[in-house]
Amino acid sequence: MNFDILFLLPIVAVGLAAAIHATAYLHGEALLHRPRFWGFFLATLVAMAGVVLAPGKIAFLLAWEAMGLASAGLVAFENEEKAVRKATWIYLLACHAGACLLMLAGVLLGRPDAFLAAFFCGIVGFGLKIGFPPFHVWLPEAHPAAPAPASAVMSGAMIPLGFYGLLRFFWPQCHLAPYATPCGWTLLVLGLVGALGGILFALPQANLKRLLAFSSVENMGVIAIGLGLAVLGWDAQPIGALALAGALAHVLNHALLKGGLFLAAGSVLRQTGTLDQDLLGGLMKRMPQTGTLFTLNALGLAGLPPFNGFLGELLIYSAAFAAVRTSSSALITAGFLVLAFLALTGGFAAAAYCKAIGATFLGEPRSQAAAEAVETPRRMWLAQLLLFVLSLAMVPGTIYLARLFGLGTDLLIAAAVFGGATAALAAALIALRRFLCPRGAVKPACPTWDCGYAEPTARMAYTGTAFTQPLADLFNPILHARRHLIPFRGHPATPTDAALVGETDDRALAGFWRPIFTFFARLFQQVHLLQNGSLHLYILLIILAVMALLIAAFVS
Amino acid sequence: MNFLFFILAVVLAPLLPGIVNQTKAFFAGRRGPGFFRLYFDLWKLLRKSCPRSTTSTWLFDLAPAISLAATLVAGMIFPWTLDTATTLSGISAVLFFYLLGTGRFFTVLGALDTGSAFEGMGASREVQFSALVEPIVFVILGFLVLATGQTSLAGLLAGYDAGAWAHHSISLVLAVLAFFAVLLSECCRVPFDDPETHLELTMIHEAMILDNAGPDLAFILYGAAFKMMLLAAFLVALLLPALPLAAPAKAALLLASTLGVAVLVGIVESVIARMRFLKTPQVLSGALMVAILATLLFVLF
Amino acid sequence: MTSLAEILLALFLLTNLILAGTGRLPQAIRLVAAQGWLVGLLPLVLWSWPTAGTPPLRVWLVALVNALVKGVLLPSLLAYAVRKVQAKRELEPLVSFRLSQIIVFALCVASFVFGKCLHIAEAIASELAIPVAFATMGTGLFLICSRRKAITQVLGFLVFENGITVFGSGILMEYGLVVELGILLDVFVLVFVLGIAIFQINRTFSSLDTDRLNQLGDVHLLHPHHHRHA
Repeated sequence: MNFDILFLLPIVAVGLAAAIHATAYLHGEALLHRPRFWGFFLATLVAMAGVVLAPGKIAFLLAWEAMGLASAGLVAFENEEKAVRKATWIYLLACHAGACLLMLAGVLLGRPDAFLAAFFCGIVGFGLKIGFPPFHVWLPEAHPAAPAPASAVMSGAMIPLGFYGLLRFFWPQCHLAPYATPCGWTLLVLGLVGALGGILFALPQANLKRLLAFSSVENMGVIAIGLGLAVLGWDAQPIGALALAGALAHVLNHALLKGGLFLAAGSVLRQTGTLDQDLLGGLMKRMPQTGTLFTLNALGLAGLPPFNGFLGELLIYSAAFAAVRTSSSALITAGFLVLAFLALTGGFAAAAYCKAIGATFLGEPRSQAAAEAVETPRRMWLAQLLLFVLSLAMVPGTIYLARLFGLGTDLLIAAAVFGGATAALAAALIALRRFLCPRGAVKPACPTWDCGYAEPTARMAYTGTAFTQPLADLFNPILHARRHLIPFRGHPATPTDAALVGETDDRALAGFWRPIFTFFARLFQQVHLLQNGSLHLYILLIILAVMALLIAAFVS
Repeated sequence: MNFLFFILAVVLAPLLPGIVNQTKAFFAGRRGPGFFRLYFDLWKLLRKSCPRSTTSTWLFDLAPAISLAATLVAGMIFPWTLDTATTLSGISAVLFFYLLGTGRFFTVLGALDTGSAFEGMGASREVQFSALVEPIVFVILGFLVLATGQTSLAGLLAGYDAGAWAHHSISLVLAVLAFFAVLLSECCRVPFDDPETHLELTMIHEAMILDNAGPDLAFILYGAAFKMMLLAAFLVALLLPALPLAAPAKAALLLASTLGVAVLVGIVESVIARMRFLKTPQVLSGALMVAILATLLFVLF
Repeated sequence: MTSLAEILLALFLLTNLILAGTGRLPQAIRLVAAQGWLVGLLPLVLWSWPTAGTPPLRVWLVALVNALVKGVLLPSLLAYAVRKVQAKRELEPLVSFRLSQIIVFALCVASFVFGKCLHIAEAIASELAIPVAFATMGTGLFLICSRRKAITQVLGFLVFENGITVFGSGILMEYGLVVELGILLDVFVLVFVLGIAIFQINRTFSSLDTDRLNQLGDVHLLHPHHHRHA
């Protein structure tokens, strides 16, 4: 099977939209900085196209490495900030660790008996780009650090290239008999954990782009679930075809919609100077086009019916149903896991996007910057509109994709038709309402009902953090949110401001990688014992090494 | 044929809240507002104007209509005649529940659009409960796929024959119990939410619609009643085996049984109190466990 | 599997799950009483009516005694204790209620799988009896380990005993019942003793927390601490 075109499409589409958006996004930047952005941006796009078009393994690896390096330049664009430098550093580390493992995987792939070893190297190597937990650490750092058009390209088009790599090098073998079980379950478990974990961590994030970055982890998880199910169920069609078609449709949906969301986040940042959702609000009135497009894209990505995101999820759900219907206990288990996890993920995704829309765009502005925001130049929201229109084209696109895989399309067509029916019925109801309440009676004329509280201010409204607090509390054993109260000081008559600050850090970084890195750092400290400046010791070491080599030669 | 019964369901839906309230009134020894109260309320609301908050945007304007439309379309694809041989055989159960999800999404956005702290609070609780309900629903759907060997919505609800029904009655009872918890939570009934509370702080669904008035409020109230109709019908269809009846008879039985479900809801509301919000996730997780147990019992025994 | 017995057995599972999640002592006692009634009904329901005809008198007797003792007598004794010592809630369980519920659920799943693997004699009354018995015993033991209040621990003990009874009536249809009566007597005496112990613990420590028992050193007896515990 050849997946080239499928992965090339998002590169072109998101790249184009991001470029249009960037022309305005960079407007305030110093003149000298702009060529730097465009250089790295175009280099990234070329390298990404190179990854897909590379004829062999070596060319692929070269393009892959070039893609990492060029995009690191994009992440480092605003390098005067410390956080950005840190993010770049983490990203570079992830890129290189991934590339090392990919080289190893490439070598192992040549040997017929080492396929599984190659597969696991590939999973980690590509997983570092895709963002499988716990390798996703760079995503929530690099995405907020990079300029929005760059994050859009990276999240929409670059991360899924990891799946392209997996499919290109491992698909021909991994769905065959001896390998299907280990490969499929690995992908499936990584996907389940990634999907649920990603969205759980997305939920309480206050930074809009960080939220989107974690939700990318979720989307990659959903794609991995589809691929895992495809690998496990390839022999029991139509499970395999349904799952694979679902995963590929989700690749495209995610690219277009998440690209649009990142661009909108960039517009928000440019117009208000902040991405903190607890300081935003009320932007739907001030930036109507951006807000509307953000809402529509988020609806699609939450997988709700009238939009294309639903069709991808529907295919994966159908695959899970088909798996439950088989007689193999492994497939039934996999099917049930997918159903439960995907449903929970869907619920959380809806919650997370409700929060993102509500806290950023709805209600009253919670800061001066948000209150004074105005709509972006037309180019910026036209770029998002382009992506949204393309994503609508994914509705027939998904049906076409399913047909390519030889699947029945009744399911999808019915979903599309009744999705359309929903829209039509909604329009009819709105017309009815207009008829019952003529325009004059609908005009905004009064403040929001305040339940008897005198003079409510925007600071009293529910913030995004408050909105997600019940769910975040419920899952705090996993999230480990830090929350500290800044009490008011001074005399009670003239108190200073008090605040409750909550942050949810990435657990993989704090709980998994940091201990490992600290351990190795401490281990390598021990090497200092050998490097103490004494010449005698060095000579002794050389002699010992030579002797050891001699003995080794003798023994063998 | 199916569409005919859909229309009947549309007409009957406002009866359900009336039945619940009359049941509660009966238990409390009151006269009650009457079975047809909601019809009068809707008629009254449709003739009122809809004032708008200056904070709200197009989302608040459109949300009630979109919500209702999604719920109605979910009703359109529901197999009221419990028959696999309809034109609806290609429709997935996923679509049904995701349409309800779309409706909820817009209700929540409409609530957030007002910028009111109370409506934000209601919206926050709504998404919390609905996110926890989702896996219960899909485990039950998986269970139905196991039990019937079908994957379409019509097949799931009409599929299993009386023999299998008797053989696995115990799993079925557990699944029905779990789905009843789903119904109570999704329809904002006691013990999850109390539709009669007076305090905004203790509301969920009522808090979200504080700012709606006129036809908008009518859409929302009607949508809630119709959603209850749908979930009650799903519950009944879950319980019923394939009956050797003609399609119209089955549909009539289904619709009549939904009224029975409303009585049951009323009884539940009369005998238990609303639970603390902190306690409700535990009830939902318990329902999820029951659903999984039902499946395990089915698979293992 | 279709009979009424399975429904009763499934109700055991449900009561176990709810019991693990509740902190209100009166509710917990009601649940255990309900289990007592279920235990009482079980021999009658498991009796193969069509083939064996009307069960002999001793089966009726065992059912009646079980239901009365476990469904009425012991629960009302405990309810009396609760009223007397004014303890309404298990406030700080060693394992949170949410986690308890998950653990009991896991116990149920494990006993299903275990019961499926275990092939006991064919003369088994219901396929579900063994897993449910294990799950109920596990729940009882877990409650004893994870709760602080003496009353909840007594409840745990009763649940454990219910599990044994289910096991007995599930396998040893005929002879089990006689043994069962003997066990019942033991349980009755034990709960009675524990009931008295509850009063004593409460009087000494003004609390029902069995944790406090480790204060029973000499020093503490000389200077008893009066921790108030709601």
